[in-house]
Amino acid sequence: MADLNLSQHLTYSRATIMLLVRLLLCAAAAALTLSAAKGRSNWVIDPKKTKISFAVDATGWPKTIGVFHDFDGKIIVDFDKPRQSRVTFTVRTGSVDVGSDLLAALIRSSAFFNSEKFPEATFASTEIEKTSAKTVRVTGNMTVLGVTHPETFDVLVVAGLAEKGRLGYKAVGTFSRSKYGMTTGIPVIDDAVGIEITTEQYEQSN
Amino acid sequence: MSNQTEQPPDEWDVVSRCLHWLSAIWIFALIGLGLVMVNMIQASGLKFELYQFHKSYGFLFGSLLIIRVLWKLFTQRPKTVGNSLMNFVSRANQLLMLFLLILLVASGYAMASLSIIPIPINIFGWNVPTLLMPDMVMEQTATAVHQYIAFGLITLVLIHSGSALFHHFILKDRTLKRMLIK
Repeated sequence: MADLNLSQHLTYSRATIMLLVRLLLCAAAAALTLSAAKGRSNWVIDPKKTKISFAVDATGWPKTIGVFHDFDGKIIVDFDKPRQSRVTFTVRTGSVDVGSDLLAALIRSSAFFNSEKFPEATFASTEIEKTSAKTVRVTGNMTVLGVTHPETFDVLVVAGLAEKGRLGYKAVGTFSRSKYGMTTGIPVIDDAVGIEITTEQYEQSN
Repeated sequence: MSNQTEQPPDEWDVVSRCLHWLSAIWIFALIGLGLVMVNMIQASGLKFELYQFHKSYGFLFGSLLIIRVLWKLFTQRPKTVGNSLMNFVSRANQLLMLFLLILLVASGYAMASLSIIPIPINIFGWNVPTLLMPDMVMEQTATAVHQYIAFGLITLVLIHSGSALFHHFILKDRTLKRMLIK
């Protein structure tokens, strides 16, 4: 009887220990997951799921919508202190696509982007503030034609992405191109240029 | 020029006939393209390409027009067909069409030159020089002139071709036949 009790006791203990171990493993896994989500982490944009587009209106002309095929972007997300998150984007202006080689050539020319002299347009955030549960406002320095000015983008965090462990954003903003010295065609072609960026990031593994 | 007699020929010479029909096709294509591209409300890129095509071929048409005028100056018109009133009206219409075509090319060139957006007229890689300074108001005027002349020309072309068909099918004379390429 005593042996039986002992063995029963041992059995229970073993079960308890196994349960504890399992719980610990779960906690560790949860902690790892949390550490991935919390604190500072680097996110790289997925070019296949990123579209950087602009739209500009002109009198008597359909809206010209263009995309840039060549770009880089990086986001440092700080889940604890969202204000300390950072966003940088670099766009190669020569990669502009407006559905017409002739029009793209004009946009690349010195009349607009002057891509030969200024191959890149950049944006680097200086301030990020949360505006609602799913929106943030990103202010930063935009450089076009070698001229830098502060610009603001409203960013919506996109939910329901097909791939897990990713972050999706949609950013919209408007800037005045004349501020950067891009004055060709004003007022026939609008001074205001709309920008829309839809992007998905994955966490950098290192 | 070898057979220089007092008597005008019965038919148009072959070069005049070729120039006539080449101009006809060119004018139809450019006016058709003009109407399509101006009324496009979507596809900025395609619209832009059509405009550039219209500009290039419009400028080339200007060269054709010069050749045609020069050819007209050095060749004889065929004998007239029909009464003097008909001949006067048709001749006036032809000269007016020629005049409008010159104005059409000139106003088109002016539009491209006056535009505040520097888009050259490109002909097989060569950029046609602009002789006018960009000016938005002047460009709008040139645009209006180009448009009204085009509509005027369409009217005259309808009268011209309608009359040719009238001669051919109703009066059953040689007016159209002497211009056809056989």
